[in-house]
Amino acid sequence: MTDFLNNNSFSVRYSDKRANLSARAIDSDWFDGNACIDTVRNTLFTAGWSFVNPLKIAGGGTMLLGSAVLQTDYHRGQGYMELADTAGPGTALSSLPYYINGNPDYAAVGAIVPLRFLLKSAQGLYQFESGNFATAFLGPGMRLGVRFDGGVDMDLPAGTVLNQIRGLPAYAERWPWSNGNFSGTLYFWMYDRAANNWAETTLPGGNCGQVNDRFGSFILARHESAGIGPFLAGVNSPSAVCSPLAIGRAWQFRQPPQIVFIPDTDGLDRSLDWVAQTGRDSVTGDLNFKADMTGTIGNNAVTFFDFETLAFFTGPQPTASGGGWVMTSPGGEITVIIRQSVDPSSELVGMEFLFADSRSSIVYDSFFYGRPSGAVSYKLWGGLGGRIGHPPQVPDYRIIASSLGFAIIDVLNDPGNARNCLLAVCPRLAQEQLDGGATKSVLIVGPNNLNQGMAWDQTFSVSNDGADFITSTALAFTRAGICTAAFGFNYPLLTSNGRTFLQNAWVMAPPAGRDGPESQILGRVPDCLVLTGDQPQGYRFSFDGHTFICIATQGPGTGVGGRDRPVCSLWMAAD
Amino acid sequence: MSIARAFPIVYSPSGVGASTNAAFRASLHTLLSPLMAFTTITNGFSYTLSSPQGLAAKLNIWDSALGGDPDAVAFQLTSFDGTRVGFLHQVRAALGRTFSAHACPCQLLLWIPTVGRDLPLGTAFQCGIPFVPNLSPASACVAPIGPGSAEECWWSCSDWADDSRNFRWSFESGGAWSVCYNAHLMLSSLPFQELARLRLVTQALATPIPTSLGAPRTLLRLSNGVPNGPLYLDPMIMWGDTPTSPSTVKGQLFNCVLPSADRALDGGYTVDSVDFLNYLHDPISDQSKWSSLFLVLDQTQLPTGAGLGNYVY
Repeated sequence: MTDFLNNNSFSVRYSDKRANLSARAIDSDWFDGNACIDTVRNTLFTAGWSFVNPLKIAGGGTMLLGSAVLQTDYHRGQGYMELADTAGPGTALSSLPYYINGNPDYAAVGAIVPLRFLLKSAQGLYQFESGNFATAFLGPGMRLGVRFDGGVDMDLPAGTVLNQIRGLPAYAERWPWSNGNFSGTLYFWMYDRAANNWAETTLPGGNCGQVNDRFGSFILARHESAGIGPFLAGVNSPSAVCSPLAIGRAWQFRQPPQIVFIPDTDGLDRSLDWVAQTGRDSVTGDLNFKADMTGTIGNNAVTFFDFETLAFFTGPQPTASGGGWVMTSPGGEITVIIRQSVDPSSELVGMEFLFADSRSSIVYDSFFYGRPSGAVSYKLWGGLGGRIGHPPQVPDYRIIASSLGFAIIDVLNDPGNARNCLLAVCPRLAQEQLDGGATKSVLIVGPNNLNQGMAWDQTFSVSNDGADFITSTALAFTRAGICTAAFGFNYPLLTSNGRTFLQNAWVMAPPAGRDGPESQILGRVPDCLVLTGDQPQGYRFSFDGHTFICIATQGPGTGVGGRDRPVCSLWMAAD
Repeated sequence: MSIARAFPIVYSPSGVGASTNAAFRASLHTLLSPLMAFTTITNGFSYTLSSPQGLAAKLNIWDSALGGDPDAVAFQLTSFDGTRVGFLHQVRAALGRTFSAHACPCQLLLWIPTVGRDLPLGTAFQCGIPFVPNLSPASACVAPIGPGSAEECWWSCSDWADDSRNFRWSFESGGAWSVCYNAHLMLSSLPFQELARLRLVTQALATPIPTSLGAPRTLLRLSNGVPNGPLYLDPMIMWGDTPTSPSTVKGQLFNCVLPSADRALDGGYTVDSVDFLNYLHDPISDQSKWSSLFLVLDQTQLPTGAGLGNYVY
């Protein structure tokens, strides 16, 4: 039955959680995928999204995410971000850190729990500013524990290295390793923003390229001996192959091109005097570390160690895309992979969003070496060059996320910029109580759409009731878009004193993916409202106790004939 | 509930006899006199429209014999003090003709059942004082809708012109309408720009509006659902304050709702246990797909509580 009352009343359909963060690219020709991806990930996490372990256990079952627990009492201020004040021994550290201090080199710096048994991009290793970490955050003697939940060794293809903490997804690399196969061994990562050239001194092959001061160090500590000696790698050349763990693409990374391999615990201790002690109970139990943060390496304080489950350097080519995170909305309506993307021709680095639908099979191989089947892909890029009088401009992305979707906009919105923006929403749920419609729909509006108009005839995808995504490229006629008052004449719909109206954010798209002349109502865009006026992207206003940010707008344009398109804008609650 | 309500509602299906001019006026008086205060004028009555918000206007109905037509009954709105005079509409009596009516103390819709755009002229008339949001303490207004407060707001529309568009078969008025807001009077018989025309506000996909209103537009119906499952929207009404200024929204019609779907003229529909009759159907091209206009037939069926407006002004 039609819920007449719900239908006919203005209201914003708020989701459970909201968050927003700025995710600014660093420069025009080098997209800081690390910072942006991490920011997107953190914002989604704060809005209630959870992580998906793409790995499968033997037999094809879902591999659980690992967990981390505190081994010692924790008190507020001891260095763990966003944790409950009462966290004590055995408390699972489920929070994900985010902390941005404004320093681009520390963008997406992790402010806390470095124990993330999740896929992440290589560039996303959390770090602490030297000085802050040792003195203000983690106290001497603090013990962290790693609990191995349900882990199994991975049976990886030949030539593949799995860097895992037993049972936890790690990173994989298809590059033909010369140092052997480490499958099944136990590793953890440590990350150091080391001094210039520090890593070079211990390079085994000496074939690493130049290491400049933009690069930090990457340290891989192997807990079980596999007879492989330490190595370091630093790469800043696209063609350099200095280390199996720093395959070509490392040149794109601002931070982690250097890797240290430590053969065993003793070696770790010897090499890193700031790690006073490590220990392992067993490969099936807990792994405990005691971090004595009093030491330094040269003049550079260790930023942090990071028990990583990395997924980076994926793909066999230096310009291959890969890495990233798999995240799903709280109700499972939207599953998205956020990863770095490289344009092989231009070597531009950007951020890719792969949205999974019913056909998607996010498994280890398909995830790392190609897009999941059934997924649709949209990419955001850094500055794509300017025009006369407009130098290339770095996008200043802002992500506004809720538990039912997210929007990413470039708040700079400069005419010379690429004007990238993206919106992915679940505009209908069963509780919407509309007449006979889909119980859920996922609508993705691709880049270069939102800031140009409120109706879209290109780069959008829609999935109803979990069915396959249908993309706009398969549709000749049908448009998607926002419903608004049908008043043109190059004027917005106003009250007699010039006030705009707030309207329900009804969104339309091809019904069930069918092509045709008409779109149909999918539902209300969560956390959004429509204003019958136009304002620039990124503008804000307060309403209903929330801050709304303008994510899409269309002013009077050159429509058909004498009546131009309706003036309206789409606003999303950001808090 | 976002239907603006003005009670009592009187729905008279084919109950307004109009075989003659006198019979027509007598039937109307029977219908309107319980709802509105009235005074006698020459060959007719002057009824006082009064909205729940305290706005008022006059509706004069009399035998004008305009143009020597003995069947023509004149309908004309004026300001409450009579100083601002609206368009002189005519609705015609004819042998055996009966009108249907939907009325409340501040609004009157008159029509011949099953007759929409069909000629002859003089078969449909609408007028009223809309619900003006800023006067309602229950509305979600964040600012006054007009300069200062609305002290006067009324409209009228009919098919009595060569361009017979009216709310019986179009969301835009044609050649016979008049509006007045805070002493700003406009008549269709005077020069005006298209953007100032009296119209109901429909909704559509935010694509460019075609030059011709008869051009296809995108439906607003629910996906994957029952055919044409509509949205139900508030019937906002708008016009320009001057003949050259863009229309602005003045308020919304009372006792009706605007479904975003094509519905048969005079069709009966029940939504959430509320019975409606569809007053508006545009037979031209695809324009009728935009919306319909559902009239509330029984006020007792309306749920209680909730607000008055679909929109925050």
